[in-house]
Amino acid sequence: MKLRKPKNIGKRQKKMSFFSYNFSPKNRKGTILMENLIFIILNLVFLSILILFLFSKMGGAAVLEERYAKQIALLLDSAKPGMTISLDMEDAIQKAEKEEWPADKVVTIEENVVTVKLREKGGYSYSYFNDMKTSPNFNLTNKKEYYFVIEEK
Amino acid sequence: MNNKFKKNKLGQTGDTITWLVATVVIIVVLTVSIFAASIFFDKNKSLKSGTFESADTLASKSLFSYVITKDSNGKVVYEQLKEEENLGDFDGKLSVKIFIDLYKKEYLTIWAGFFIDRTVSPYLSNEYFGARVFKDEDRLITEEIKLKEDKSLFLDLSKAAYSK
Amino acid sequence: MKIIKNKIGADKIISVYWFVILFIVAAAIAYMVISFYGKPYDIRELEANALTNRIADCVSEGGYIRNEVLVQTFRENFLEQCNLNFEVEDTYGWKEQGQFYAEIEIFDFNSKGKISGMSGGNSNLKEFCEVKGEKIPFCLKRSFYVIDKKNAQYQVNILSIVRKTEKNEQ
Repeated sequence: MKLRKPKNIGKRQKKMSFFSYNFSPKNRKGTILMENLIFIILNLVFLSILILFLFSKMGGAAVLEERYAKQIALLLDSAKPGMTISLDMEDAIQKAEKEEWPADKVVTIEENVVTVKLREKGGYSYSYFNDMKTSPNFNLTNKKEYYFVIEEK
Repeated sequence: MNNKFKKNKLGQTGDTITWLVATVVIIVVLTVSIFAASIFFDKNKSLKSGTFESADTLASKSLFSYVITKDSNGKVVYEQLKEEENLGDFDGKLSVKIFIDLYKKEYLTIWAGFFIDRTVSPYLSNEYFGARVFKDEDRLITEEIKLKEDKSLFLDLSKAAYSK
Repeated sequence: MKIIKNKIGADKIISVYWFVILFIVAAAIAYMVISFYGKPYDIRELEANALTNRIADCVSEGGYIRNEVLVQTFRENFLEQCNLNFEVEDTYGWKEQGQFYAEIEIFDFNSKGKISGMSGGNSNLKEFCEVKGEKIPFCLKRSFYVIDKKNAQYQVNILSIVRKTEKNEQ
């Protein structure tokens, strides 16, 4: 390889010795490749959509409605007159508030069917076989519980 | 001159082979995950009482009725158990008829007998149920009827099998 | 010597393939999530146990069988006597097809002779008890020992059946 003197040395450019010579291409300035950038951004968008989908399913109102409706039905099935049963429903009440659904209308009981509703176009109903009078009450003090008073019919 | 630069002749596989292997690995991992998820999630959403059962209402009722049963002389089983050193003829046979015959399909190991509050062998072995094989940390349903200050009748029910 | 002007072509093909793989992985994850969260909770075993315990509490009290249980009027209104209401929500045609069935049989404990029996609910569900498979009603058969005030010994068998397959099994 022949050592060549760089052409057109400007006045400000120094003469370089052999050992400080740059054998690689003249312009080593890095460039952010557009293709790589778009690729990374598309990957991130895709992953974000996937994670959003997962989280929406996990904390979904539908799952909470089903869970609490069945849990309340089971509690009432085992209850006896004279009992008062408290149930912590903080996560469901928070969900209802986000969906702009009044917290005191989350749990309703008609005949022997309990309905849990966390949004306007939602709701899950489940029946219980215990034939007694019961009413759901929203705890206005702590605003995260519902309590059920069980009475004879 | 030519040999100077041929230091090695290692070839390089193409990117396609790498991607092919990666695809096969990804598909295998996904298949295993879906298979495992379908089995695992199937069990999880079925809320069986056996997973956290700590009491059996019907066995408890049977035990209570058992201790208030009278023998042919009109003596209540509870009084007999208080006086006896171990399960006797009437109460022993009756306990087998009730607890083993009624519950053997649901519970693999059933034991009934006396508990004496002392450090060595508090659970008394008897000729009807044998020796008590459970340890304190075992998951079982236990009912206790206090007979005296230091003496109780225990009924233990377990869904696990134990070798005697 | 030819100068290769750009090498971008090959990278772009690999990128398309990369997104295909990503899509397959995402679809698999979505399928697993949907299959889990789409599946309802199955609480029928707990319901059947609660029903059995309720009937047992109705039939016996303080270790003795309730006197009314052996009387004809009790047998005829067994559900009412035990404060049981088998009405269900009006969904999936459940109102027309009962979702519960309960049956009590009382036997002499020593001779095993049947003394009394009563039932309530949809008796058609009984035939599913011997069948194994998916989307069938849940059956629970349990027994307990009880005496009366005259020291007569009884064995009470309780059969509780809960259907509600649409809301408990997918």
